[in-house]
Amino acid sequence: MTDDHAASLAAIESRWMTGGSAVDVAPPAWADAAGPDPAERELRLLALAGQSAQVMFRPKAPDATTSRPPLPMPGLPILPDRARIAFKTAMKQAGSHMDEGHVLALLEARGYAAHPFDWMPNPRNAHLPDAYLPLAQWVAKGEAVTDADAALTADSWDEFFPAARQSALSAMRLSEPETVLSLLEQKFGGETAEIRTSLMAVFAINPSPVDIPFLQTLASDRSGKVQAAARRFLARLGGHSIAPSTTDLAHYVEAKTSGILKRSRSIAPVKLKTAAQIESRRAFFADMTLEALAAALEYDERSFLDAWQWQKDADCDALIVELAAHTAGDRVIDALVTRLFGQKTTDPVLVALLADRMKDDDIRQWHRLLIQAEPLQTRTALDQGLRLYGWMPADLLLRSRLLGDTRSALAADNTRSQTWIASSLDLLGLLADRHAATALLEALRQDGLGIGARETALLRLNSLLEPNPDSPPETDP
Amino acid sequence: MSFSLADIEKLAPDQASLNAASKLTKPSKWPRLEFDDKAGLYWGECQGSGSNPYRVVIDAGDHGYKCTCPSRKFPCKHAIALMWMVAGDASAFHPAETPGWVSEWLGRRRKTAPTEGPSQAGAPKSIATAGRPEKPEPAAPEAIRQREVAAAKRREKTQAAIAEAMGELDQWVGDQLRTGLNAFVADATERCRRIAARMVDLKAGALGGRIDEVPSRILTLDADEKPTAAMIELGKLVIIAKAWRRDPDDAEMRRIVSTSETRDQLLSDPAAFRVTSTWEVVGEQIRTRPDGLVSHSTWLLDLLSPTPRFALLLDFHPASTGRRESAFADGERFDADIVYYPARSPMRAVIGSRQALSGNGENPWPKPATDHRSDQLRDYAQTQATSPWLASAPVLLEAGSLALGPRNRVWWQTRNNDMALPLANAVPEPALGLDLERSVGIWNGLRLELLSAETRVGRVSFDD
Repeated sequence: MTDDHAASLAAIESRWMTGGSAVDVAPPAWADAAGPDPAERELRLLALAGQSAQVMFRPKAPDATTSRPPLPMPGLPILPDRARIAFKTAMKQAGSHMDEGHVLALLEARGYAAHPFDWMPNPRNAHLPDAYLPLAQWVAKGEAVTDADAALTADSWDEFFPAARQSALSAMRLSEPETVLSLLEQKFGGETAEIRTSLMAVFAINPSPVDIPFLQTLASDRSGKVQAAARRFLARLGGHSIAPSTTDLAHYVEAKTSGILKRSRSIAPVKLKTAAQIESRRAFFADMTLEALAAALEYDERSFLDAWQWQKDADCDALIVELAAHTAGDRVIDALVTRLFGQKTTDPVLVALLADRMKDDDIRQWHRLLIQAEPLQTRTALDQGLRLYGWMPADLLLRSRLLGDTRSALAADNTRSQTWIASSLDLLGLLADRHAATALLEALRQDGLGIGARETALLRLNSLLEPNPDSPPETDP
Repeated sequence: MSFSLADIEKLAPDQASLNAASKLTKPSKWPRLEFDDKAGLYWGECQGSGSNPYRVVIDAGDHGYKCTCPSRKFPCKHAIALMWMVAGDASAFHPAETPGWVSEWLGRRRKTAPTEGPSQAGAPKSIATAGRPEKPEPAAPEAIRQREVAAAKRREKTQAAIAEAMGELDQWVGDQLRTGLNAFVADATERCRRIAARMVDLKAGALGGRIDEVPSRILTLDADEKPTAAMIELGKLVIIAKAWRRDPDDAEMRRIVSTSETRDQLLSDPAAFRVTSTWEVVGEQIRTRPDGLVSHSTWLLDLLSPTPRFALLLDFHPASTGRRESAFADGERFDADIVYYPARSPMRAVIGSRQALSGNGENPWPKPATDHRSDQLRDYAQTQATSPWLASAPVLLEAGSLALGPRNRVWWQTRNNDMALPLANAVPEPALGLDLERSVGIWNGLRLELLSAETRVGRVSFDD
């Protein structure tokens, strides 16, 4: 549109804005085209002017537009288009009854990241998978990390958002633990309680006696969560061992001797009668280490676990396992895992408490137990975290109790809630390898659960996730 | 109560529906068949030609039914087929809990006895003959002649009414200019509603619907743009009135002003413009209109055409029936024979037949007719020159990006910033950091509604 043209159009529009004829301000060519008929010419001019405004007008961007820096790519290849709808449905489904991090973990296990249009990370989430850190940085600061090797130092500390800082600290903990310790000593106190609690996870990587002095200062942190975490790590490192009062201890556990010819010692939970007593026991154990507990009864940790009378009191068993998970060293954990799996009936919920400390083979063993367990335990598994995703073959899943119960519930049995069915199908979807997911979908389809059913979105997503050839191969179970 | 074959015969709208339903009575056509014995409900999903199956539910108690297909026949062939399967052999149905969409339907429906389906010109309906080829009725020359005379009289009467409507419209537009566009903008909803109602009374129903939507297009703009938008909208009405007067029998103008051809009429028209190609669903627009109808526009892009060619699948349904499931997934590609409604710039169309994708489905989008160095809206200007009554038209834009302007308005702009188009719709935040290698949108002269784009993170959609 030329300037003259624009000026004429503005004059015409201006005349019509307040009402009246605009023919006398129209360009001569337009006035001619409008014709001489007074009843017609205003309308014709309107048609010409309106069309001209619509077709010839080219809006100009304001001077003050701002462009965002280029969106960085996530650290893994983006999910193929054909799996995106299933991913979105699965995330929507997950939101109602489980942490959506499970779905992201399944993607990661197959070597993919979510499409940025389908899911973007919240940079305040300190537990983000590393693949999303560049995107989180873009969201947080409006710019991507331009220098991939930017080092985390005391000076650059504030330039890193929590997830990126956590990731950098975790990586540095393996190569330069002294630097990490020095950084934490300088910066830890200035962070919020939420971030300080997240930072404590760094001490789980490559724990060393060098950490003890700093952890001892954290044992009196203003956050109770940080204090508890510090005490747990100190216990694992042997730097915190407060002996419990034997009088108080006697309220909760008792040492027994049995046998006439061959005397054997055992430790059993004291039977409690009220909820208040159970709560007091929980509080008592929360301030303790396994080592201190065992020592108070004149045991070492491993012999204490050997002497403990398992399956007398499920709640107390859980307290002991939690105590071990939080405060025992790796060898004790290995021994405990072996002991739990060696029981006639292993409680997978109890094993779940050790999930963060178990080796991959033990995790797989735990998953095998889980799919044959009582239906209600699936919920616990999802709450606890699975650690390994998308690995279980079809033969295990197709004859599992989990699938059998789910199929029964889908077919006729209304005793199970819809939430339970959704959780069970999601657990199947998270555990199955790709071929198993396909086989499960087919089995469920025969039961009448159509291929488009929302409940099977995670299985459908799983079946579409062909392992990315650029990612590490799946380990053979 | 349950279904008998006689019940189904009574309910079916015509023999053709029975014939069509008979082909859908195989359980293999239904990925999901379930029932709730206590509630007397049967439901299923029928795999039609679309990627999304149609959802069908029937109530064995009072013979109520519901299907998500867009058929104008009630009950449709899917509902009839489901009833037929229940009446014949219900063993294919699995017991299940009533799903949410069935519960929603139960909550919404009014319990009335379904009416017996009309019998076309007394034609008998029989399940026994369903599926057999239909014999044409013997022609009755006198009856045909009488029908033609009656139709001609109706047409004449309708045209006279529309001519009167066009006169009133011209008068009304002139009044708006005399009283000023500022006053029109301030009172657009009421003024448009009145003239739209008048258009409907005078048989110009389609034009009435369009006028009813004018305020929603104007009032969302910035204050300084509203008079321009009003000028454009009113100018279009003048153009439509003049074009209709020039040829009241013109199919395109008749569709814009009064009524549209039926799908069957279009499909049986040998002169209709057809394109057999590979198509991609590039976007959807779902709007609730002031008259209570929801317009559902699905935009397709011809992937085999050397220059951009679009097709618009347009459907309407009452807002009271809730949102319909889309028959297509965004970005879906398929082979189809598309039949266009007659128009100077063919746009609106129906699918004649649809097939699965024959190639690998990796054809890129066609190149815009112009490159980014020249005017990206030249194709649009050409469309407007041919069909100046169009309120908007699809555009395929070359490489560009999005930028934020004042008042958080998002602008699409070319890489060298020589052209910028303000967006009508919001976009997801990551879009602001992406180069859009090609984009598809709907441009109306003032705003661009971005539908989808090709980017380095693949094809992205903006109409979610």
